Amino acid sequence: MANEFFESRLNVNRRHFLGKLSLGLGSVALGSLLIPDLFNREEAVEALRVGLPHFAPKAKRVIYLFQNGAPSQLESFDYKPLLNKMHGEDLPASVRMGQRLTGMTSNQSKFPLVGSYFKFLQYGKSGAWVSELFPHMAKIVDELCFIKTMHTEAINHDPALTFMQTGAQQGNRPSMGAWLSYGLGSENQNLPAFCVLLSRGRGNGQGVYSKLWTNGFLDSVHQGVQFSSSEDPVLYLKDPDGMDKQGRRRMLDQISELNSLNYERFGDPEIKTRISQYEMAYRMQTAVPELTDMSREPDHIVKMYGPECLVPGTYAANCLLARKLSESGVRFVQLYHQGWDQHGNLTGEMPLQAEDVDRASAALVLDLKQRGLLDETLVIWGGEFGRTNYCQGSLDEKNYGRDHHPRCYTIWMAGGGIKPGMTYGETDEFGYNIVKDPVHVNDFHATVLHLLGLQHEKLVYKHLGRRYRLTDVAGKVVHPILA
Amino acid sequence: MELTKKIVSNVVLFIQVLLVFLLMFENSLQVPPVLQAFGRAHPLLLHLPIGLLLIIALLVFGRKWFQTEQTDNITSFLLYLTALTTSFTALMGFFLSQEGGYLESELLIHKWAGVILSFLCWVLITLYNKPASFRVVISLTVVLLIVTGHFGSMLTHGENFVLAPLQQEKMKERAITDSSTVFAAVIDPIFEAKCYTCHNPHKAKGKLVLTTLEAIAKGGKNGALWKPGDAAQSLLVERLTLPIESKEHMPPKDKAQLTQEEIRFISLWIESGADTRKKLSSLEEEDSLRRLSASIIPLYHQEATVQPKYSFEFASDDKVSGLNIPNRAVFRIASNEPALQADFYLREHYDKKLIEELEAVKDQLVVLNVSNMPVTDDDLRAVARLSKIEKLLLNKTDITGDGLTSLKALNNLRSLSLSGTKVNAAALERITNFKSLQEVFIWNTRVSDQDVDRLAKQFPHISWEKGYVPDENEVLTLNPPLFVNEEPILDAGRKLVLKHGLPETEIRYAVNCEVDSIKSPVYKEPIDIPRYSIIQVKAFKSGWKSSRSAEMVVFKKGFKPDEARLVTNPDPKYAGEGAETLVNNKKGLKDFYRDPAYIGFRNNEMIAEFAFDDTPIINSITISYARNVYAMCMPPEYVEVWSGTYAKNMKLLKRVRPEQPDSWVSTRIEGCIIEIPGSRFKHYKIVAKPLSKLPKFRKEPKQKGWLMMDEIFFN
Repeated sequence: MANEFFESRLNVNRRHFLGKLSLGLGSVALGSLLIPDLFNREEAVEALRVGLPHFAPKAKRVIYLFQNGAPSQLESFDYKPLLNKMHGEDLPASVRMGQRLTGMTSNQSKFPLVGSYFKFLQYGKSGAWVSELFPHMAKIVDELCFIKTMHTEAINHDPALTFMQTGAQQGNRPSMGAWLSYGLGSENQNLPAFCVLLSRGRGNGQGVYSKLWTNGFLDSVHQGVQFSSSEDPVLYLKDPDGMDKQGRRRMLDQISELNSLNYERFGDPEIKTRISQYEMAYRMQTAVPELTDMSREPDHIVKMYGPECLVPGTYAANCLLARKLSESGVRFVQLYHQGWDQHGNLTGEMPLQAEDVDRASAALVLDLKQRGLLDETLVIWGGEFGRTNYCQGSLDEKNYGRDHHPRCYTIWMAGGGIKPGMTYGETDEFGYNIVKDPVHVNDFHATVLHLLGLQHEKLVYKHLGRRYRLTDVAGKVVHPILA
Repeated sequence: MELTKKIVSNVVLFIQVLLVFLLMFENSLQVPPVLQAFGRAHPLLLHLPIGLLLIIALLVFGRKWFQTEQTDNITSFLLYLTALTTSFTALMGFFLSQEGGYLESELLIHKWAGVILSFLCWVLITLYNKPASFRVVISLTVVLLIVTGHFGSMLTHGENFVLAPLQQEKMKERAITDSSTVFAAVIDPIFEAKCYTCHNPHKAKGKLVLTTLEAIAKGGKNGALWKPGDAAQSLLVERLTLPIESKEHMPPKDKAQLTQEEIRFISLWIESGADTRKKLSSLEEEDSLRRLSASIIPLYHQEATVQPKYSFEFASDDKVSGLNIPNRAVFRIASNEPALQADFYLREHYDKKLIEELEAVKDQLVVLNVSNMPVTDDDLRAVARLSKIEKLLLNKTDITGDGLTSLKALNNLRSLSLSGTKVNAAALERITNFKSLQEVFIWNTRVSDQDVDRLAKQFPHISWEKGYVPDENEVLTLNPPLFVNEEPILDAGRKLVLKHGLPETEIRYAVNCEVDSIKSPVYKEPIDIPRYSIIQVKAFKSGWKSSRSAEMVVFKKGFKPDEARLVTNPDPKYAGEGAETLVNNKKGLKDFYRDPAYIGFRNNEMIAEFAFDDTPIINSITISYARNVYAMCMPPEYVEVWSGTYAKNMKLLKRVRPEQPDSWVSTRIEGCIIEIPGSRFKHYKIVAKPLSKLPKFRKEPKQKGWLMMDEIFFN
């Protein structure tokens, strides 16, 4: 810390030195030019400036319903009747092709295939297959675009989740939401551009950490703001007893003055960020109560999202809040619902998880639609990888588990520029390998950025001597799923 | 003359230094308009040094042909003139480069080459009297001049400007339209990128030319390129798919190769008849060619969406940013689009004036979102003046629909959102004749389902989105009531508060028993909980299924002992903070025992001693522990309370055996209350024995249970 401080001072000294030099030399070299502000180009960094997409975007905002822990594609959307036929038989080596497994099943002597315990039916005009666990999503399949051939490079939760969120497996890069905040800016200056909502779930859970919504090397205004699961979604926003609005205003003005003095002294850009964050918090004092005010919602919104939406911190409540945030111009609302890691007791846990998310996820899509906002809001639903077609642990008549499977998994997207009612990509009949139209995580990122009007190759940030992108050095836009 | 030369030489040197200086501080440079104009003369002036330098080179190297008395003087004069113009040209070029908009990599080379060039000119002056070095440097300078000039011309005229007319046949229309053929859209670009270099009219390797369809039809020296309908027998596919080491493999192994997808596409296309006139748009959506093409086309064509959609005039940035205030955002929809969107926020700050002010950008504004604002019918007249609006969101505004008529003036209005307003069917009749209206959102309005059906039938050119309609027959289960108290330890005088988010929901509660839908009391006001209890609550509402019951284990804060001491040692993994853990009123999570809020025992009893200085009257002692059958955390086998006036002489007051679970019950923190005759002792000793055998259903009866102690309350 002391060292950093010292370095920062060095930095400033050098800056001061050069600044002085420019004046000194300037008086000699440029005096004749008589142009005093030759070296005064303002760095165009106004913290909360509204950024602009590279071209007209299809989607203006994103709501990402992250299903943390990796829900099984085989019990949700990727219907594989062959697995039911071959139930209990060993996974043919020709299908597995010696691909790596996690340490949790690599010691298994057999890999018995296991078919879905839950029934599948086709729905809608598009005829998408959906399991009985997701009856509400089944009703809206004609609004959704299923990508069955997502695949990733990581095989364990943390790297896979980090990869999905930041485009790298190690957690030091900016998250998707931070990139969008950086690229597009905030639409509503009274709220953060990137908000994060967490819910726990009822199945085997995996952790989520703030590194998933980090700004990485970007300015810290782009960091995701985590909303609390309590009655007050943003803590410490209320004025304490005895403090009125004017008092708060005066206090902020004074603090801002002190901070500005410090900025002039140390030149740390974080000080500027802090000043603008205080200002935003002040404006949030008005904006947030409007968000949480249920009195302006009709009663049947509760029926739509399910009564859980009245319980702060549940997935349903977060979906409703996400809709309100998005409606209020928040660029990126990131939800995480934990509990999808069914290594065992899949038939016991997955119905509970599905019950938690099914109704509210579908309601969110419908709710955006009925407000005329679905065409400009991109909704994404999915986890960090898929689950194996073979059983982990003991396969009994009614229960089984599935291990991690990065080679294929299903996600769905809806709204903002996505072709509705379609299924993209195809996995083999074992549900193990991709046979057609693979979509890599980088491709997924490129596509999301494209929908938001950003060319993924142009959204770059120079850091430590190289230019970084969300898609790093890869990624192709998946054009067939664009409306 | 000598003086002038000296001055010129110094000026030139000064400019060199200035240039280096400017390049160093390039990033913080603000070019004022005066210098911008100066900079823009760069393309004019630059022709002087080019000509002058070449003449000097000619004079120097062609000395023997036109040696006169004056040659040296002329050369010297020209040299100073050259150095002066070159350095000014470079300086101007530098200022021009600050305007931006040039290709970065070319600009970089041009800039540095230019600076070095101008420096070399100064070097030439100083070397004029050393003919040998002078000749070397002037040659170098001429070479550098060509390089600089070449890159400069690339900046202004683009790459390959001079030779392009000679390669006219290569210039092909690359935009994809409905009439683009599959060949032109996909295959030809692949050929161009990967085959043209060797198979063009100037360099027809194997006598094969791929640049035009006619030439392709002629084939090469090995015959026709493909056999329509039969990819396997086609020369092209054969050459593409041969092993890369093979000499016959195309493209040769040191050249850029086709991707698997591209080869597959070409094979499929030949397989499907190799029809060079087939249009891309005639392919079915599901057609494999169409699907494959989707991933190839973007590699060779600019993104179609990059083309701007709107062609009207840009509003000035100042004007747009002037309209941005915290509760109104006005922004361009994209950096290459003049079109604007305006969004309103913060209901309490809304004012009609905020809409009226938007007239300043009415020629650009295409989207207006005033949802949630108290906009009235009257305010819509101000909206109607924003004639370019295509999408208008009026969700949850205060309009009733009377003002919608005025929106008829919006000739471009395509989408209108009225959800959550008071509009009725009659109001909607008035918008049915809007020229370009395509979609209307009327969820949660006063428009009945029948009205929507009628409108949809009568005016099918508009899509009427009625949104979610609750299913009357669907009976949902209520969520359980919420405990507002977050802390399970109630201070004296603190009551238990319950709540349910849905209005008119009945909450019933029960203390230490199950909730009964009739007998249990209805919650009306905060409940007083006098002692350790398990509170169960359930919600009821007509038209809904009653909720499952939720429970909360509540402890009553007790007297805090002045001394606490552990006599036996806990398991070292779960040592907590020693005896303090038992009396600090800190609760851990119900399933995380490494938390110092817990202190764990398994192989020995917990014996803890407590002392009170002021000997309060104590009527009961409650011990609190985690019950987690899955993790073998069980209630203690028994608990003993000892007391006495002296620590060394305590007597057993009571021993209780807490109830043990008999099935896989849920995990919670629970307690066991030990009633004692009200008394004022100074010393107490609590003995709690971990369960020695797990219950039978646990199937590991020989295992001992854990005792995860959380807290001890003296009430």
